[in-house]
Amino acid sequence: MDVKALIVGGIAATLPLTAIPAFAHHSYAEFDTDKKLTLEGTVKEFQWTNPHSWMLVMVPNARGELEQWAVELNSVSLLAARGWKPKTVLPGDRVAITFHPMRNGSHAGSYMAIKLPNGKTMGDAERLGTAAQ
Amino acid sequence: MMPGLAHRLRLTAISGLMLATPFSAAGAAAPAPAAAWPDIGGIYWTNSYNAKIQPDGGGDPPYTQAAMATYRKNMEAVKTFSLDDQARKLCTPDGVPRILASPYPFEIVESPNRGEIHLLYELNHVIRLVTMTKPLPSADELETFPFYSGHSAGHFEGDTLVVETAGFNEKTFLDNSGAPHTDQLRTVERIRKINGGKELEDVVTIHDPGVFTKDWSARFVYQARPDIRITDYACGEKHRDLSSVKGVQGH
Repeated sequence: MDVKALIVGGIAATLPLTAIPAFAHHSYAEFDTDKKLTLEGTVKEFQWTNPHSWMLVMVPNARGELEQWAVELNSVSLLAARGWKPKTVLPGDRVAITFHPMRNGSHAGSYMAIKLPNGKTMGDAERLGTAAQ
Repeated sequence: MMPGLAHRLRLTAISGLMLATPFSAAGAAAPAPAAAWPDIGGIYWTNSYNAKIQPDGGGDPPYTQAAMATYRKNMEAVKTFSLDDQARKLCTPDGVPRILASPYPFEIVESPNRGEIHLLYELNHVIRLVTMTKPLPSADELETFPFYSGHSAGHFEGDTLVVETAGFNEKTFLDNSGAPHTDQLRTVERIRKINGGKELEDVVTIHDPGVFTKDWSARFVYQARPDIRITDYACGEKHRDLSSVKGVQGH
C-alpha cells in the first residue's frame, strides 16, 4: 500500500467485510428452532445492517477462555419496529442473549431475546418451534 | 417506543442550538417552484487537495479535550496504516464533509420535475440524494436508519443551494486525517457558482455536540469542467490522472 493510495482512496478491499460466519446466505433449517440457549457475555460488535443484523458476543467457555458467538438478528426495519436502535447494544455491554443454536454445534444462532445491561429484556425467549420474528 | 433520556436530551440540545445556527428545525423550507431553480448543475473538479480539513480561521477543528485525544490517536494510526478506515479498506462512502475534499471530480444533476438534486461523486461512485420538496426525516428516523452519507434536504436561497444533512452513521471520518465525529453530526452546505460560473464554492458548517465545543465551517472550491465526464470507478484499480490536483502525493 503506498501513500498515494491511502490518501486518494484507490486501494483494494483488503479486509473481510464482516466477521460473521460463512453461512450469511443460509437456510433457516440450520438453526434448531426446538432448542434455545442462553449465554452471558460481553458484546464485541453489533452490526445494524440488512438483510440481517448480527451480534458478536464473547462468552467464556468451561476453561474460562473467551469464545466468540455470532447471533443473527432480524432486518433493520423489523428490529426498529420492535423498538431497537443502532445503539440499543454497544460494544462492551454485558448481556444475556437467548437464541436458537445451530444444529451442527457451531458457535452461532438465531436471536430470540436479550437482557440488556439496564435490566430491560427485548424479544421473546419462550418462542420455540418457529422461526424468530 | 419512547426515546431514551439521552436521546431526548440530545434533541433538546439540538433544538436549542438551532435558534442561533443555520440548522433548520426539520429542513422545512418551502420548495421553490421547479421552473425557478437556478442552474447549478455540471461537472466540477478541485485543483487542490488537503488530507486534513482546513477550518475557516485555521487550526484544528474545535474538538473537546477527549475528542482531540481520539483525533491525535487516529492521526498516528493513519501514519501506520492501522486506522479502521472502511472508506479506504472496504470502499464505503466517505461521508460529509470528507467527500467534499475528494481529488476526483463530481457532478451535480438537477431534476426539478422530481424535486431532487443528485450529487454524483467519481470516488467510490458515491451518490448523495438531496430532496428539495420534503423536509429531513424525523429525528427518530434519522437515528434508526443512519447512512454513510446521511440524509439530505435542500432548498435554494437566491442562487445558493443550501443542503442540510443529518442521520450519519459513525463509520466515517470527517477527513483523510482521521478526524472523528458522532451520529449527532449535522452539516449545512451552501453551494453556489462563483467567479462568473467558472468555479463552484461549497461552504460547509459542521455541528456535532458529541465532539465539538462549537459549530465551525470549512470552504471548498472546485473548477467547472464541462470538458470532462465522470468515469468508471473500480476501487483498487488505477484511475484518473490526478497530477493536476495540487497536494495529491505520488504523482
